[in-house]
Amino acid sequence: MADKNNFQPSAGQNPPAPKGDHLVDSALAELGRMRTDADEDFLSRVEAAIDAAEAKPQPLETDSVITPLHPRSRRKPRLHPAAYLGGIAACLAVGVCFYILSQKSDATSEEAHISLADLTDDSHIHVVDTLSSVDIAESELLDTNTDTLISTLSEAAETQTLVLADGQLNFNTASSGIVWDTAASLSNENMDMSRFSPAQTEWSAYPGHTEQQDFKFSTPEEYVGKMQELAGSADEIALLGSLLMAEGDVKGAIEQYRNAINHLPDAPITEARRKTYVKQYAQATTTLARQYADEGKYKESIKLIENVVRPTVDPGNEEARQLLAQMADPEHYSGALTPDHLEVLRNMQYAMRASQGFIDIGDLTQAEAEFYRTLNSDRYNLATNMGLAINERQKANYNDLGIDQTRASFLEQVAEGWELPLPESTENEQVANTDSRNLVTSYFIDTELPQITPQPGAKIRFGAGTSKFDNAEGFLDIKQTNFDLFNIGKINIAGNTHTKDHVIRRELALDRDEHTLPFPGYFNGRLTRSAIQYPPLIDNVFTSPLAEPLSTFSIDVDTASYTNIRRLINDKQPISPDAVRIEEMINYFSYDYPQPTGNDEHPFAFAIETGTCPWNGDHQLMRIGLQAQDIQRAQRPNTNLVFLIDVSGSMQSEDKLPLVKESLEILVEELSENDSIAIVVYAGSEGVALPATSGKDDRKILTALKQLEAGGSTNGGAGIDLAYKIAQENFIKDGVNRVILCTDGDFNVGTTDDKELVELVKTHAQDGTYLSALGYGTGNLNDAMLEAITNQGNGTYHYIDTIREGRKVLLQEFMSTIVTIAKDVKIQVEFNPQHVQHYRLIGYANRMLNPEDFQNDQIDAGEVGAGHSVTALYEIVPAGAPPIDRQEITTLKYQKPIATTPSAPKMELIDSDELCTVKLRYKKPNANTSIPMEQPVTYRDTDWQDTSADYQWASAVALWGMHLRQGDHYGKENIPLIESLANQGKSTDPHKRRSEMIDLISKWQEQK
Amino acid sequence: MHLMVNPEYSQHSQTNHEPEISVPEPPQDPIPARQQFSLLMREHHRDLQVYTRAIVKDHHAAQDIVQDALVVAYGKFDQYDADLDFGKWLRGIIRHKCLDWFRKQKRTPIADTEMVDLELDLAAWQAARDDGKDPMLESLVDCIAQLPEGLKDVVIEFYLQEQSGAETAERLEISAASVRKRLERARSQLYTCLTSKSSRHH
Repeated sequence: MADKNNFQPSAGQNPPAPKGDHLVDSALAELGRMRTDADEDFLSRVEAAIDAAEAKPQPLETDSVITPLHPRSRRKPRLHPAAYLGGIAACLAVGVCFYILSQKSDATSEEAHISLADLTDDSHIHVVDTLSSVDIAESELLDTNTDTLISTLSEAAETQTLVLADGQLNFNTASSGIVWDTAASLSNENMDMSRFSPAQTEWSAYPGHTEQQDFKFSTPEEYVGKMQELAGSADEIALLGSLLMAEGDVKGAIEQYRNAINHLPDAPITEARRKTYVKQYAQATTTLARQYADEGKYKESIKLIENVVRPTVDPGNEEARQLLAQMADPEHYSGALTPDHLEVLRNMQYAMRASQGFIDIGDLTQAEAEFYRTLNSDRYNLATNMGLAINERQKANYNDLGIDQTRASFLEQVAEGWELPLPESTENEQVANTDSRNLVTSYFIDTELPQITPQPGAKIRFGAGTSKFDNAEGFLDIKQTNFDLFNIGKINIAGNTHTKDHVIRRELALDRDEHTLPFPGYFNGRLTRSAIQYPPLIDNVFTSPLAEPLSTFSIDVDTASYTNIRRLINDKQPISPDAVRIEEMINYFSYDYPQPTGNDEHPFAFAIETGTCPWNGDHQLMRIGLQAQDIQRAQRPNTNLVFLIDVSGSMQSEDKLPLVKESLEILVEELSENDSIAIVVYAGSEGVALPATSGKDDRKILTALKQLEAGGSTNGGAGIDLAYKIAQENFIKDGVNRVILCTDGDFNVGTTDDKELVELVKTHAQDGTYLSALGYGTGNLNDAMLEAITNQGNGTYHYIDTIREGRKVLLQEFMSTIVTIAKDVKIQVEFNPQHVQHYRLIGYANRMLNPEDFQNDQIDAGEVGAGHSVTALYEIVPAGAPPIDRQEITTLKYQKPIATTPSAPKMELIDSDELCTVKLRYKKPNANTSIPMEQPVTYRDTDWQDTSADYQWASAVALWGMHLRQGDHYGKENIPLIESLANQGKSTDPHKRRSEMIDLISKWQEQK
Repeated sequence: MHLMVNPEYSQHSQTNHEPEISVPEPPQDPIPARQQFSLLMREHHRDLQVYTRAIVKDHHAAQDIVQDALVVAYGKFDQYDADLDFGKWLRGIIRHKCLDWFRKQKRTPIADTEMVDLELDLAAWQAARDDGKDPMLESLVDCIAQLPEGLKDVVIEFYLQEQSGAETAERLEISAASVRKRLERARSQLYTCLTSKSSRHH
């Protein structure tokens, strides 16, 4: 390039320049080029170049490797065996290479003699120019013969400094001649001093960092001696480091290695040692760095590694560089994994263990605190949320979770009408002045409670919601705040007025283990069936038609009593007589009653059979059968169903939500493309689990069902409103529109109180969307409520305890469950006194109506679904039979009996052959006026043995029921009768239900 | 929500004892040396660049050589005696490097005598600069300012404006030969100025 400065003539020599000319010229040129930042640029370039140069291992740097673990004879440090072995191994591996060479140097000689016998295959010989750090000569020992080697070295040795890299041999500079040290020679106490050049007068060493001043020695002996000394102590420090490393104290080892390095004086003679220490230091540091990296402490790890890859330490360390690379690689170390995160994980693990511990010991408050602590760290932690749900469930078992606002207010409402009559005594005056709560408590404890005599071995357990207490005091302590006074009289439940008796009966008639009884005072608790003596179901007694010719009752297709008895027997529980509702037992089974013919204007057909009474030869039995019209599946009206499913935590058990899902799956099979099904969940999660879906989308529906999960809190949601809304949106005119509530009793469907709920249900029922309920689980089913709302909702209420029952209710009786044929169905039988001396309705103890109720359309009665059958048995004492033992007649003082019964007005008998007339009144599902239907009955004197199987079967059930109720009153001899009746009545039994009952009877007998 | 936490259990983290995160000290670098070197470098690099450029006559080559020399010098820094003249030491290395460079460029190196002259010239100049610690080119600027007008112009145009000889001649409306001559004279005068202590302004 044209140098503009050089514009002297190119040819010929330059004339001699004046003094300073070139310099000034250069200076001026530099001045011209000078920029403000040029200096800095240049300097930083140089700095960078220096850095780069430092990173390269320089042969003359203190970078030779030797293992110093050559135990000194003077001291025998105690080594960990591994360290010792390692040391020895290293020593052996390397030491051999470093066997001292007996060199002689000739101060003036230009030759360097090296005893080749002492060099090994690993030896390299480099001749390096100290000034420019340029390799002048290099040889591989393997392919060099002796002569060449010597001559090469000699040549190089002439004016240059010789360095043997790979730590084999070191040579110091000398102005004339060669001197050298062998690193290994430091271990040899008898170093041959003669190899030091006499020409050298000074030996120096850059001190280790323990000293401040350079060493200067005037004799080789001093030099070597000092170096040996310092190297020796550094050796020991390094040994200690190895020891610590072997013990696992990596940090300690790093510290020691560092000390060793710093302790070592910086001289060629110690270079090999330095390199070894450095390697050990690097290894220990890398190990610790890897540990840090594994713990997520990336910053610290990187800092450590940087210590290793410093130019002056061990920049070529492969492992360190590799680790650095790995840390940048997300596959090795996740960037998200920080010590904080690991800390969080550890905390959470601890918290989960702690929480479980708390749950195990029953300290649920603490458990909950632990769970929330975890959630503070990890909001969505699944295990914690599960744990919380479990905790909730546990709490539900122990605490008063069941008491929620609605139930409390409902129960308060129930209790509102009750008042405790103040006892009249002076004591009571005193008492009257006290807090009313105490009054009721003490009254209950002193008066009522002692009257409750539990069955032997049974316990009275009091509870509200899901709590159970074993003593009344405990319960009362808690419940004191819920006191209400009560009075004996009428109370209001769900819009209907009932007598206390009726309420209690009705409540107790439900086959549950626990009842919500509106007992005096607060005691809206639950008493377990087994513990209480119920106000008895008052069976109908033999009645004379003269006294009361009309027998009126509400039909009911419930079957719960039988399923409950079945459960009690299977669970080997005693059966309380009041658990036995004979009509429900009889109605559990299906009978072969003829369908109403197409010509009939009514959807019902009677199936009345008469015969002798199996258990009393003098008596007759009339079996009234009522068959509701069945609808062929193909003809069934299009159905719009919305399942409103309780998914609270308590629904988690096997006999609850899983059973709900299974039973609904059965129902889904029945649906077709014209049907619509939707699923709404409440209490736990809320909302639509399945929007209204056509019945033919089996897969979609089943998937939604499968995904239902119980859990979470029991906060209510917009359950029922949403369900009705969807039902309305998919309303099928002239079809079946139902909301089906599936619950284990917890009722927080989203209404604020129960009045509102009942109103809601009623309104929708009037608009055509009925509400049915399916109860699950053996726990705290709030049947009173469920019954009330299904009544108001014109739906049915079934209890499902097994999948078999589920199949029965939802599949085999699907038509009946869903399709209501008639509502408010009542039966009234008028008996002819001419032929009937006495009659007695078996069962229906709590379904009796007053005679005038029959025509009263305001009176609520039961619903009958399509295909249902209802059976009622009357035991009849025919005219002329021996009269029965009755105690109903008292002797009057002012009247004389002129008829057989005193209470009836004198009536004239109308002649007829009929035994009785069975009358029916029903309403069409959407109507409000009832339609009458009747059937006269003439007695046919058939021996019971010759009656139909159904007749016999019904008799068997009735007899067993009566036995269950009245025990040995009927005598043990009746058992064989029951059995033979059952066996005869079994007939085809397609669903094996009758066989099941026969088995139950045997089981029951074994348990007696 | 307010949690009632059992205080006994709030110390659970004690069982999770984290090792202290402390990074052990690395073996000590001769950091002071490095800084020392940097300071020296900063002080002398201009001189060295000027010197080198005077030898190789090429700015970029001069910079490279100085850089290399400094790197080498740093590698030998532990052998450097603080009593020695850093610049002198470096210049020794530079000379070698220059020779290498000439070899590589296949150019005839300047004569040894010339190098010696340069050395001496520089020594004189540095001596005038209060042991060479003043910024070298500052005094040059001062001296330029003292040049007579005609010489100054040509120095400014040629060197400072980096015009070529022909351009300078055109600018100043003098002949090219004239420019050359004036530059020589200017340089000579400048050198006198630079090496004379009295030329320095305080």
